[in-house]
Amino acid sequence: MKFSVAWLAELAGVEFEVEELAARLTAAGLEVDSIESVQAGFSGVVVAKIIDCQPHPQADKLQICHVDDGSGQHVQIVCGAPNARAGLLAPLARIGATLPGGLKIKQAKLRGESSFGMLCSASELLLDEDASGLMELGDDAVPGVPLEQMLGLHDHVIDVDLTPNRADCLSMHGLVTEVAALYQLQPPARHLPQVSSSGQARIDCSVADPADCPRYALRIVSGIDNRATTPVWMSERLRRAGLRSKSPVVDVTNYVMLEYGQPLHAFDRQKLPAAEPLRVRRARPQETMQLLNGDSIKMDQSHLLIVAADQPQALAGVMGAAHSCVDAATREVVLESAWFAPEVIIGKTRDLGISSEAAHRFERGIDPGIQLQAMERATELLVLIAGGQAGPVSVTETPELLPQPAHIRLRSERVSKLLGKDIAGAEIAASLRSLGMQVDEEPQGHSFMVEPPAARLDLQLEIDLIEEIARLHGYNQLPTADPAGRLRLQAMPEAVISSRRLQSMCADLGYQEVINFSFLRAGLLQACYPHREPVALANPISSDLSHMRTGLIPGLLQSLQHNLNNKHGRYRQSVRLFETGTVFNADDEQHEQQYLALLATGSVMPEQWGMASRALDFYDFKGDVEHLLGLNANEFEFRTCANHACLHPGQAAEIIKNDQHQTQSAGFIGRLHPRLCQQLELPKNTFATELKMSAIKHSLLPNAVKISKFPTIRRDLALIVPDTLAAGELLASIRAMGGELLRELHIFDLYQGEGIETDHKSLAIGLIMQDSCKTLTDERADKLIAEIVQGLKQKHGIELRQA
Amino acid sequence: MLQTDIDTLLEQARQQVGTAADLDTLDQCRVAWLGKTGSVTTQLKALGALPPEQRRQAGQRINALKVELQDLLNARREQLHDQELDRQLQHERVDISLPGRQRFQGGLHPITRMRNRMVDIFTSLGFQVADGPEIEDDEHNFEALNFPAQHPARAMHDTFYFPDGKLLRTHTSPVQIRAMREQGIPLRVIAPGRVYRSDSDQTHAPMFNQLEGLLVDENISFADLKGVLQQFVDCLFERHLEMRLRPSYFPFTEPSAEVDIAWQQRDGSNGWLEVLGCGMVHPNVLEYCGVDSERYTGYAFGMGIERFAMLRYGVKDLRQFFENDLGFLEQFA
Repeated sequence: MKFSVAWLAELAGVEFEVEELAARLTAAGLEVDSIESVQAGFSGVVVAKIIDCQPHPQADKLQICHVDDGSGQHVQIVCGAPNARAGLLAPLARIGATLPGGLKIKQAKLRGESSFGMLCSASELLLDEDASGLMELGDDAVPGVPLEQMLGLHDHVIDVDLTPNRADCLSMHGLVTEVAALYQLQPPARHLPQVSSSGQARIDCSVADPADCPRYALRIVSGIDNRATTPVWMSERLRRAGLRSKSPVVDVTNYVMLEYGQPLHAFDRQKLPAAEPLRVRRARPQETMQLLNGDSIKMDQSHLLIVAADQPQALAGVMGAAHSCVDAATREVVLESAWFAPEVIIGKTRDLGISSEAAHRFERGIDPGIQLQAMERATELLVLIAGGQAGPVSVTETPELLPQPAHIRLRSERVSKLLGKDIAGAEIAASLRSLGMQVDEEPQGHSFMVEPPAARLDLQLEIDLIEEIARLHGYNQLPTADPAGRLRLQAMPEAVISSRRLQSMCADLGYQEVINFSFLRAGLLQACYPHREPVALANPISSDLSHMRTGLIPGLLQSLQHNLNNKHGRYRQSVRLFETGTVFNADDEQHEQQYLALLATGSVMPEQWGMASRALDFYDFKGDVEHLLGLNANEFEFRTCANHACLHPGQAAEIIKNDQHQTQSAGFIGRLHPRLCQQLELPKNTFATELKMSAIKHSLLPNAVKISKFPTIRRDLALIVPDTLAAGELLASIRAMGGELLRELHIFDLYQGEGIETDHKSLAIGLIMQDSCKTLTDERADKLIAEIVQGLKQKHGIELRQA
Repeated sequence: MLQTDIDTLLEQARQQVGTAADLDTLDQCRVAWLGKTGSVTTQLKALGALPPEQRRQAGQRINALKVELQDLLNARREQLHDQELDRQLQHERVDISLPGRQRFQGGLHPITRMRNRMVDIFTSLGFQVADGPEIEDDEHNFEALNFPAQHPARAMHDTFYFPDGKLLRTHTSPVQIRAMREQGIPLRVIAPGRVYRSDSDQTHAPMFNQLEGLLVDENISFADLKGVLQQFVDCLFERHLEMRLRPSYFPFTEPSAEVDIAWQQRDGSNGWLEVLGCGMVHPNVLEYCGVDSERYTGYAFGMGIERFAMLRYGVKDLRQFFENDLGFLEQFA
């Protein structure tokens, strides 16, 4: 809400220091967005009256005017404005004047005729966008008066960002009430207009459902001149509130809306079906109308209409229809002042993509008591400016359906309890009264019965009043207390690895955390997870951000692309990223799950001296993942997985968690499918893993076993193994055969090539054996090794490598 | 052996030992004097042939000579060892200015870093971390939080909807409802998490992170809220910052406030900067969750994690948090 500080000062009866006013408003919850100084961007411009106009002998579009500039002498001005005419009062930039932008006015000759100054349009003075002709100053302007004085151009415009509960401050009356309380001024007396209804013309009205519109009032004003000029005091106040002056009827309805907070509408009587009453009813499905902004809209039963002869004339409380709106030729208007239920207005402007000052106010709820006063005020102003006779007011109302005055019981003790400070009953009562509330102290003296003013629809509960007291007392004057309260120690499950620990480990392994949006384009999700159905947003911000992610890999791929293709950053060949976050609809069990994903490409180590650069491979990446899984005391198993859409079928595994109770999938790991790399223009040696947080976080408490004090024996085996036998399977066999004595088992060499049959590999395996209760003899160790070699031969048909 | 012969030998020995360049030469000296057939050994062997009255004196002299020679040899050996070690150390010297064996440097995202810090501060005061779903229903995101159906207050939240009427939570406040219902009173929780609004420009991202706080107990007042927030701000920035509260409006709190801190601007002056919203939990919200609003009162607050990360780390553009440019992110490792 933008308003003129000078207007507020006039209503309040005091002058304001603008910065102080803004600070007080902000401190009271009416946040000041901006303060603009209203100043003339010109000098040397005065009011002038055109005495006569003659055609310019040398130019069709120019006229030679003689004007009265208050100096007592008539001044000759050459002017091209189409509305220049005898009798018009307009701004004159005298010789020596400066216009906005620095233009200095000098004596000039236009096509041979001298001009001793320049008559100005509003746009030339930066007062309005209107450049169509001279600015018309109205008949009460006095020639010779400096324009900035006449327009009151020593003002400020304050823009307050009102919260939705403060609909009462969408009017000057509401603002002045608030400001009077803040400055502890007398609540301002209101001008209650009374107009004589000398006219006879009358229009009837009816309301289909009074709940939609508990009060509806109409009045005809006939014989008006809508070409009359709106007085400058009004058009200036409108302009400072951000509204353009258009015509007396429109200006008056806007002015009264600003003044009282009551939106009004005006229909051109002659454009309505003759002798038909107006009716308020809901729209029918598919019913259409054209709004006065030119939009054609289709409606349904949620829309409330004003109709005449069953034809829509206005979308109630939002905007009038194009065909019944007033224009310059309007001679007879129907003024409408109504109270529409917020429920039927809310959301309409948003749905239609239009803005409407009226709807903005009806949505938030207007004062239910001022419809007729506003009608009187509008009539008074309209007749003053445009003449005419006002007819009687016809009202259809069901007062019991209007918001009823609230009667709220307020306990002093509750105020203290909530605010943490004892506030005296006298201060409570004074605060509330200053806001125009009726406050009666109850006999016991510890509580009050409070009736807020009708415009304060936001005040319904005791807590609403406590907030008002706190506001006026000042939040910053209320006490501050050290934290206190009943404390309980927090349960911290020790067998659960924290997200923080997992994130730290990823960072320590050389991966940089990223955060991607939770939504992205469907195509990329489909390419990575064809079997997961992504949830689509109904109103995405763009098609690139339209579907909830079904996994973390697509986001990481986008981050990778960004960093590889980043032309402004330094060239990067190696990138390692990780992300944790919510994934939606990844499987049937849960809609939302937490995942952790890592992605790496490039070299195994940064380029450096002393070490040859080597491209990252599956085992480098698997090692990182194993390191991460090593935080968890449970066993994880890697199973071949040839059918993951985004992974290379020969370099992919499903990760299985085997804990005491169950075997579950913990995620997958692999090299990206070459097709996907090509599609996204990513390097071929890109590896990714995606892990379910629930699986990798749940670990076990350590359970210590006795450490053997007896010596260990190591034996190494070199085995010729067919490629078809997975190393993991071989190790599992050895482990099973080794029993309790076999403490450790690891592969320390893998060889393929000369000396080894094709499709075979040589694996060198170290076995460390130990007995827990006596010294292990070489004989027992060799016997075990012999059994293992024999077992491998029988089970897998594999032999020792001949030296 | 006369004392003069001994003195002469010692003099020669000192010279020879002193000039022995290496351990081998030194050893040759030892063998020549003290070896099985060495000159001193031979003298000792010859002692038996001397008359008994001379034998004792001569024996003492030669033994003293032997000890002296041994000491000379040992001292020189130690010296040569030290020189040898010095040469070796000299040889093994490296250029310590060459970079160490490089590994890739990883790091946490600045938002994670800031979230961890905020969580640590509040958990030190007994707040427990709670969470809730990101796809919410209208009830938890709005209705239970005292947003009447169709109320203009809802328009303050540009909400992402799904075709089935569910929505992406627009704030972390739905966790208040879940925590009150599930954990009961007294309650002190914080809920960090992602939230969504369909708004995207230089100062708005369609997804961002909030941290919600809620404390409900007996005798909780606005003074407690002010106290906890002032201490939080001071702890987070590690210095005292002036704070002011402005009345505001959130349907789920009353009185409601926006909180500004005095922040040094680029020109050196202090300006007020809005950092969070807060208030006393609205009785309607308490009652909706089955909490007796006459007996219990509480406060709630919500703050943008990005906002604090920007202030704390000097980040000027919100969008950088989600562009995931490594050049940006690596500054926060």
